[in-house]
Amino acid sequence: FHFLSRSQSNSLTTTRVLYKEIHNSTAHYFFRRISSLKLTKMSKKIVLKTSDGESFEIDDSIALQSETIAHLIGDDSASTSNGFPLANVTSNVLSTVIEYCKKHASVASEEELKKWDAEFVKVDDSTIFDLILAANYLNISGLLDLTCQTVADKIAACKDADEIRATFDIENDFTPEEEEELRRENQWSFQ
Amino acid sequence: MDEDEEKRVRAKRSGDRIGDDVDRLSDLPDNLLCHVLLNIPTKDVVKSSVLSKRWRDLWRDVPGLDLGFGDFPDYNEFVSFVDRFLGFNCESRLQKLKFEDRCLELKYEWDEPHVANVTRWINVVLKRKVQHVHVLESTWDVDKEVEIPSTVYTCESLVSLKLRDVILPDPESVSLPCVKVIHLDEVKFANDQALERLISGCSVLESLTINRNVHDNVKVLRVCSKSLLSFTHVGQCEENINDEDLVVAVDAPRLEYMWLSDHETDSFIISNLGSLVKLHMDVTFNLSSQKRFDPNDLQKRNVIRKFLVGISSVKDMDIASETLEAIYNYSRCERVPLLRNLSSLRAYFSDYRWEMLPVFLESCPNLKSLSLGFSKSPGEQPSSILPGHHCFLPTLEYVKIGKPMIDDEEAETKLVSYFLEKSTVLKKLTLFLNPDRKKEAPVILKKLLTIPRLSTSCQVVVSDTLTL
Repeated sequence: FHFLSRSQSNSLTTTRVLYKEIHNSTAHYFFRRISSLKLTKMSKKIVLKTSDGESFEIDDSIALQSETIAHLIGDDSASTSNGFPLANVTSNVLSTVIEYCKKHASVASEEELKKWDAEFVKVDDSTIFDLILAANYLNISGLLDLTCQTVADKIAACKDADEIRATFDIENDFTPEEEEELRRENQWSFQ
Repeated sequence: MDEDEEKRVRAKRSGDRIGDDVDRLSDLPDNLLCHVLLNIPTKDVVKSSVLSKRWRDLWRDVPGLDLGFGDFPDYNEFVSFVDRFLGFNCESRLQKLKFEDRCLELKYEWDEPHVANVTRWINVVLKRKVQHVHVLESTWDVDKEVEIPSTVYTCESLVSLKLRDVILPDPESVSLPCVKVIHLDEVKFANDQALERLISGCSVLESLTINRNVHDNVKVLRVCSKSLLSFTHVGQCEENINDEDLVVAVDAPRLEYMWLSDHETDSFIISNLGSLVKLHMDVTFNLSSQKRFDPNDLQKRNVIRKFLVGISSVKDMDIASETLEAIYNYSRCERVPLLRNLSSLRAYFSDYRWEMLPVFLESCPNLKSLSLGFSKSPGEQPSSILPGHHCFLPTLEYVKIGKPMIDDEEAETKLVSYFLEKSTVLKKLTLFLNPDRKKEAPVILKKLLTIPRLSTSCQVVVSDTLTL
């Protein structure tokens, strides 16, 4: 944590580097807004039914983070006596998704949420992909962005195509000639 | 790669497929895979075309560009790539346009065409409902700087705007209903009103960061926003050579976080900052050792008093010693307005003049936690500020003294004594040592424990971990 001594930083480069350092080392200290949720005065319970037959009862303030569920709630014909059916989500995945929504509905600082999110995504690849698909189906933008960013970071951490293939089990179905041709077409990116 | 991955790689290479290793990444539908790739620089996205046939043409459908000027071997290739990319799916939505000059050296001979190219590209993406426009130039001795087209002021889809080293023109009208983040780094404006209107024209603006430039044509910076939550202002680094005063005026009823780092601005005018929670303050109201505080300058005294009144809802504050000095000089003419809501304070000193602190602490009647940091300043003599009579600190519970003065044990003892003798409800005082004094810790602790304590339940700790 340091303060800039203005008289010492005359060069443009130094200023920029210092400025970036200062800004990155401080925490943005404002509290999370839950303004996007349509909160009712009395929180109702919503029942969700997963594809493998399990039922989950949760507060509507948590369920409403999913735009898909928000639309279902608004549509009278959607609910059955057993609650809202979610054809594409298994109980394992839904319980993890609910964990995310519960945390993001609570009052916490931006910094605390970032730390929590970083821990939340420390799971195996299979779970991350399940979460991407679930977040997409349930239309939970925060969770979708978080999980996609996690996968993107894993890709970006790989040195080259071989490492990406190894990490994600991608089978290379190019012939060596085809691959060579491709590398030539986009030569600039491989330099 | 960790152990598990290494095992998988070895298994793959030997042609032995483990049953449950499915390529779930490639199995994602196109739109989701593109969503993933949107977070990766375009250069790496294009590289992914060789992964497998499924990936060969995917990079063309990623709805965004994230390029550095150094990504291409020459400027013309850069231009032709961008033009080609924007020609794919030219009717479809584009989410992101990001250009950054990541090497801070002039690598290319910028011609007139660059300015025209950037204007053209921005106009194209604005029509394609872009959400994020980041143009981070790094102009060095260049006659023509990039000017952002004024069409940016009426983009209905824009969510974040980050600019560096460019020129923003005078807006005729500003309507940016979705912009939440604005980040302006050494951007030049047409005049004061241009910037003010940009800010006011964003009805849901949440975060504003401005890094000033001495030639930015703004003398009075007005930030009026009903939605703003966070405001960061870093002043220009060169001395203000103009006759006119520099002013920053903030009117933001929902503002919770403010960072001010500026030694050139003459006055900060605060109004309606009732929601302020955290403030980082490194300002001097353009006072310095050359431009000394003049007790007869009523206008300056007004500015300082009104500023302190304006920020009085703050709960958590960082303050630099230069600011403390300005307030100290002010305090010799007038009583310092109280900061009744301040409960946590971190003060950073670049020298040993901590004695300005007690006066300031007297105007924080509800302070619970205090952290002090010092950085070594060789050659600086102990202060010329009179010690005076210090008041009691009736609410202070926690004190942390970090990186204290080396080779000045007397000053260190004096500082600790001040807190121990004046704090009636102190619970814990922690002294952090530099690693090279680690061995002395028990001796230092023993000495500190002999200092009489007003608060009998107070714990005194000497620690060697340098976290504040």
